[in-house]
Amino acid sequence: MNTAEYSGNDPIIIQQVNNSGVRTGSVRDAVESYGDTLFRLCLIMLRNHADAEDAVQETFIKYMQKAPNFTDSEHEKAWLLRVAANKCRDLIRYRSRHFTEPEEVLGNIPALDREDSHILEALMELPEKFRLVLTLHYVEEYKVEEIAQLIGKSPSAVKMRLSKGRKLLEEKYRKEYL
Amino acid sequence: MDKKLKKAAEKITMSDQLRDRILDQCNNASTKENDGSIEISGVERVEHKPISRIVAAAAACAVLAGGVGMTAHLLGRNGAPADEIEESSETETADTDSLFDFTGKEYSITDVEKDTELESSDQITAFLNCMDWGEQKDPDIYAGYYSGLQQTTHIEVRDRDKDYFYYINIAHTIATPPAEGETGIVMVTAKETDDKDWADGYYAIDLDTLTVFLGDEELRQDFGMKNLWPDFAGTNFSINGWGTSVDADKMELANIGEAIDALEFTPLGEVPEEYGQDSGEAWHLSSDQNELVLFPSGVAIYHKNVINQDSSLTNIYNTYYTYDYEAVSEILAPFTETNDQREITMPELIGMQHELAEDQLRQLGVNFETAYISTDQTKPGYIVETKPAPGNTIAPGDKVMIYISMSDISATVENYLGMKEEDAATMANYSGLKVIVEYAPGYSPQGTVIGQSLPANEPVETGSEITLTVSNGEPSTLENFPPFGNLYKMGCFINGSEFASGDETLCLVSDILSRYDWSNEEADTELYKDSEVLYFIDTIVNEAHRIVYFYDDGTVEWLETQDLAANNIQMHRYNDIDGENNDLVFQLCQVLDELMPYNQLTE
Repeated sequence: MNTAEYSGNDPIIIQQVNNSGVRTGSVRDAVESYGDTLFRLCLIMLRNHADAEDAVQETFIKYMQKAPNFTDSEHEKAWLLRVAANKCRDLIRYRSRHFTEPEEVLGNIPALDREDSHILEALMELPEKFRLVLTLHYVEEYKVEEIAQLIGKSPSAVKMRLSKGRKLLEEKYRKEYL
Repeated sequence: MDKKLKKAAEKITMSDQLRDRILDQCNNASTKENDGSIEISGVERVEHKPISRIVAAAAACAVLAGGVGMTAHLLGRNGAPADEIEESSETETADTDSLFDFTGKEYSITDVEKDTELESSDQITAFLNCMDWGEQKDPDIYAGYYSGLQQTTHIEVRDRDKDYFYYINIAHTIATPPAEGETGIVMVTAKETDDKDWADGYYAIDLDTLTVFLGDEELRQDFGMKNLWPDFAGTNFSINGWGTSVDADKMELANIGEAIDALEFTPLGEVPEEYGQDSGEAWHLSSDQNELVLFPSGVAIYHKNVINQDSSLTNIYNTYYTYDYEAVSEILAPFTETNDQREITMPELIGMQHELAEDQLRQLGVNFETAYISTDQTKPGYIVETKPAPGNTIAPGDKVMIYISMSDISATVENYLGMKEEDAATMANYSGLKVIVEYAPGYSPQGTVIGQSLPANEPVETGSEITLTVSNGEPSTLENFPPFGNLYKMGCFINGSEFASGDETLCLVSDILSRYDWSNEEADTELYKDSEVLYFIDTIVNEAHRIVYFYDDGTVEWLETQDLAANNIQMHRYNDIDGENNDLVFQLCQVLDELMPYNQLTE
């Protein structure tokens, strides 16, 4: 390897000169605090264990590499959820072009009883856009405005998806499991 | 149902194996990161010397602006093997060769539009250094964007030592509407002085911030953009605040300096109005002639001063930030205990209306947090408990909590549109709402609910007031018609299903539509494609189709045409700016969802 031409021939040094301070917490803390939340969302969105695990893992790696400075833990959580939701969307898109084996998703989770499985199955059968808002609203308890910000839609679009999704969920649940 | 869903979903947890795997992966990445320096051994670099230097510089800049990660991306893309690239999070060294580090460089700024030139100054240097240049954009796309644009600003930077210089050309973006914070396109061209080689890079910036800042001398003196201040660690500085000086020896000062340097300061775009009310409790960190003032309100100001010949100080500029006051107090608390303290006693707030209580704490300069708890002992909105308890002393840095009572029971609003007045009022009453009825002209039969003040399907506090607007059966004025006409009279197709004129559904739809303000119209020739159509209504007037589209983001548009295939059809569009039409589309869709259980468009 010839490095003589390179002026000064010292290694290029690149530093993070991020003056505004350090990240709020370590990855370990983030995984502890939000790992379950992200996994839950990814599993509901992707309906497949391996994909959900990949999505969560990639989310945290992105957190490691590119996370901005968070103002508080809520900001941090919202950022992670947004990244995870985008990862899920990418994977869904990818999957629509590549065949994947369907999977008995919920059978692998021993903690769930019959009733739990039924309602989650009903949820997972809804179209993707409803699954996302319903999960964020009813499971993660985000408000309409917060979800709108998180997924980049207008509050009324979120409201509409929630209201329609809820109706669809109820119908499905009643019809198939009661 | 909702609770059931939450309960079930919460049983889904990630496996320990996955958790360990993620932590392993991240640990691997972070050990590389703390190594201190990056050594790139790429053959390509040698062969394309100027380009690699620019890439390195651009990469360094990306780290400055975008954080770790982008660098690897930039370098990886240009041939250096990505796994040999490591990034450092240590402090700055002299070797940092950032394209956008203007410190110590000769540069000039030309306002191309006004044809004026701006000399470099410390303050502009600081501003440019700290500007958010964003991540480097895909040159394939941006080169296309940039070509042919009228420049607004041109910056020429020379680095004598390094034998090369670069141009930074800035233009308005052609994207309409531009993405947030990306109103300008930047093309960076770096060049050897002997004209040998060029390399281009593209960035998107907030052009307004830049032009306003560069264009307005006065503003520059007082603009709240981020500025680099020297690290406190290793410098001589003094701290005072709360009417006292911090008594710390050199070692401790170094530690404090380091701790302060590690804090997160987020630059403020605007100067907050009331940042300095609590100046008595502020911490002042004075270093040489400059000063950082940390207000309990969470706002920090950095005063950049120069010493005049008569040893007086002149303020050059100030920059404003938000930061964590508690963290600072925590750092400084150990050094202030022995000093004379202004003591604050926790006031008696229990049973007080929460806004009054919060005011009182603010006046005392106490930072506090609020939390809501369910109780039937205290009225909703009143203080139940405080920490510390009333009468106890609050030390600076103590976390003060006040607990506010909230009502446990929430009522659910339903969709009452189209119902009979009595039914709607009974249902709303039953759900725990306070009902107010008002009558208004309407096409619907007398006694039909045509408007409701609270949106359906949202929980509200029990006892909330809801106003139901009820039709008096007398359509009176024509002026409230939506501009696309009176559906009630015309008859129409909604998503392909036919509704005859005078149909009750159409009456209700007309009533809902006519209750909104249709004055903010925009004319457009393009069909709006950003969102999903939820409903479309097609009527035929004078042998022409009049079609109204309702989109899921609240946008409504309509057109009239005899030939849909014809080009250049004029659309009339209502973007909902104030959100009112959001509600309109929402209400309309709810009514139509119920009336048309099978919606062929959205299912």
